[in-house]
Amino acid sequence: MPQSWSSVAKRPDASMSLLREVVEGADDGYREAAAVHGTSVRPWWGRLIAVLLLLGLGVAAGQAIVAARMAAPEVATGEQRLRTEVDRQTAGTDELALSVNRIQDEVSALQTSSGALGARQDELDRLQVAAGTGAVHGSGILITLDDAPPPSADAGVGDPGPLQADDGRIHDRELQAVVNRLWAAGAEAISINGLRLTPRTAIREAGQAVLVDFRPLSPPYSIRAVGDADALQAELVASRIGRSLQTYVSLLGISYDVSSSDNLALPAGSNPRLRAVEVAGPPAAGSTTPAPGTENP
Amino acid sequence: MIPAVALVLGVVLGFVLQPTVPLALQPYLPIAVVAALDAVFGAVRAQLDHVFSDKVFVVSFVSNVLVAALIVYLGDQLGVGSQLSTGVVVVLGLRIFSNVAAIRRHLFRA
Repeated sequence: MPQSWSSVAKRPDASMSLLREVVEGADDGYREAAAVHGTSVRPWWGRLIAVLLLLGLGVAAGQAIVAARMAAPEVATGEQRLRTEVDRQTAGTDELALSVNRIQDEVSALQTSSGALGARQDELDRLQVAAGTGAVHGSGILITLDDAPPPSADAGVGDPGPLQADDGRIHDRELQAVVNRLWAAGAEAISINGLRLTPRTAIREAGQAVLVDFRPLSPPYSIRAVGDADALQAELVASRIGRSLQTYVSLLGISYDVSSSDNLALPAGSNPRLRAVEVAGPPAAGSTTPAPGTENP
Repeated sequence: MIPAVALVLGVVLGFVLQPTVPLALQPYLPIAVVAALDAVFGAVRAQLDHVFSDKVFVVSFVSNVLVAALIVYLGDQLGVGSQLSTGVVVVLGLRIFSNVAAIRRHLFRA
């Protein structure tokens, strides 16, 4: 142990210096200086420097307060500007998506009317329904799911309300299970709140919102499935998710309703990127011999 | 009395004059102010204990400001600026609170 350490008087609680500092307060060395020099020595320059330092501290504090106050509204306007920009771009994207769908419909109509595909038109229709790129119209079932209402403020003490605030929420798990069950039961096309599900559509959850195809949806969720209404309904009611949802209605207070409909119109889903195009031969020819086409990556 | 007047005068001057602080030092100013406040409260307590010394006050003031600014600057360079800044603020707050408690005990008992 170095010689200098043993010269300092050891307190029994030397190892608890941090706690001691918190409880009794830190001593910057005033006591030691007073013990060595005595308190009667007050050089004139010491007082002056102390006063100057305090003046400087005051100026710095005032300036910092002013700077903080001036920065606050700029932060708020910056946030507001970003939000406006996000809204504007989202609206623009939605418009573009609508026009894409419209042009796609025109293309399909032209294809059908020109008869260029001949026998392959049926196959194209079937593929478009399965891939979700074509609008679908038909009979099927409509499922409505909604979150449980939040626990009311006047719920009594003895009320067996949900343990956590979001127990009564519909999560992505429930939507995934319902949709999977519908596909397995033979649904031809499914949409949630007007968003068509394609083979590449994901149902996820981020924070408090359920995301379908990366778009946030808010409850109530209406799931429309086109297919054999009776078969879909029967399989859904008998399935595990159907029974679980039925239990949650009474247990947690969610709302869950299944009804059949003859007139479901499902829009086309988001279009996949065009990868290849072939120019069909002149319609006058008996069988279409496509000329080598252009690749559009 | 004079030191307190100097402090208040300084704050008023800071509000009125609004001196432009060099942009590089701007982020360290608030933490330097808190560190200096810690030294001031320590000085007030020492004064009430009758062990005040100008030399110790000046040294503790300057070293507190420099060390606090240095720690935050180091944190910014390492990428843990906000964490280290939080740590410095916590420690300074602890010291300020305990010094103020000692001052309170002096003022309301003696």
